[in-house]
Amino acid sequence: MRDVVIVLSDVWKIYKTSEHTAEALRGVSMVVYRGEIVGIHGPSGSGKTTLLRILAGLERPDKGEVIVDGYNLNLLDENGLALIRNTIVGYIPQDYGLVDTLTVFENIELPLLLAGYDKLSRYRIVSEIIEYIGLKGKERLKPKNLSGGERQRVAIARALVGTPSVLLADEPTANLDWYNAVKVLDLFKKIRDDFNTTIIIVSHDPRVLEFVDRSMVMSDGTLKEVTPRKV
Amino acid sequence: MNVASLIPLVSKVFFRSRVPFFAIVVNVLTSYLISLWSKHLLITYLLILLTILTSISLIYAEKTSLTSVFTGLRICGAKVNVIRGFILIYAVLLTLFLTIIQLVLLKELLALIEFIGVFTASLTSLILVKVKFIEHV
Repeated sequence: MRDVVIVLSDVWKIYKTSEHTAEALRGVSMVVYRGEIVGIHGPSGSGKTTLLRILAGLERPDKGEVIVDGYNLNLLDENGLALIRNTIVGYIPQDYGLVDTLTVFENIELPLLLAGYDKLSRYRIVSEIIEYIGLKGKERLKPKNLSGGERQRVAIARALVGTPSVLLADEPTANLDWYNAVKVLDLFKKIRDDFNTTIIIVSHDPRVLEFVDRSMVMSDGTLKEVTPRKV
Repeated sequence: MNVASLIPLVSKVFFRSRVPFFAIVVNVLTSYLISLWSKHLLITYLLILLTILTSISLIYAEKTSLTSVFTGLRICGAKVNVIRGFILIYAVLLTLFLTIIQLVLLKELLALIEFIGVFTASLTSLILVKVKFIEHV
């Protein structure tokens, strides 16, 4: 029997401004198992990114419980959530979130630096991951000198370098042509097969769902499962 | 991660930007002007104000790059004190760059006013850049 890695129970997120109130998530519940690739499809503004940000501990829900790899995120303070992002969850934002002034190597090294790894260990681990994702020879380049597909790979490497249990990818194919998109989606499958990482991909592109084990649809802040879990 | 091990990271971000170059230019220029009109206290104060405003302008000119650093640090799991440490070290570096020559030229009290002014302005601007733009992570 497979482990449960993510449990969301009746999660609500409401954004309030002086003019109006928007319910980004309306009672979302889901269970994700270790080593699964789950695809969440839905139109822009349906709450997909909010869901990922809550899972990454970048935002807090207004109501409901979020458990990631045994940690109840509701009970953690800001430093606790930071530790979760450093060790348990790898987050890949839509715009990659890379540091412009740092090189490919330094960007990937960042989580290890924050975790307090020594220089030699950092060099060894980052070199291995660069080879794994196929960016050998580009270590000294800055993100602006890379193609969209390569930047996406750097963001994936940075999210993966701390060997997290969960990878969260926000629209990973949105800025890529379909050829490069397939390469990135294949890389996610390889990561799952090699590290048994749980991967959640949110996308407005329905073609992405061909690459996942289980798919869900997000609409107006609610989540519906559309394919049964493959056993 | 302790704050001391942040210094190489902040230094990379600082020295790879345009900030040190413009800081040196402003520093040399205002130092020269202060040395010319050192007897006119009002002009000296205006030049100090110019240096303080320069620190704010430089940070806002680099806001895209700085935001990418804050965003990157947050995504990678930087604790609150690491981000605070980054801001503090960056402000110290910029203050040193904007005031170090002038400290030699200015009278003691004026030098102190300039140092505190530039440091406070840099620190406030960095915090504002972080708070205002990091929300788009």
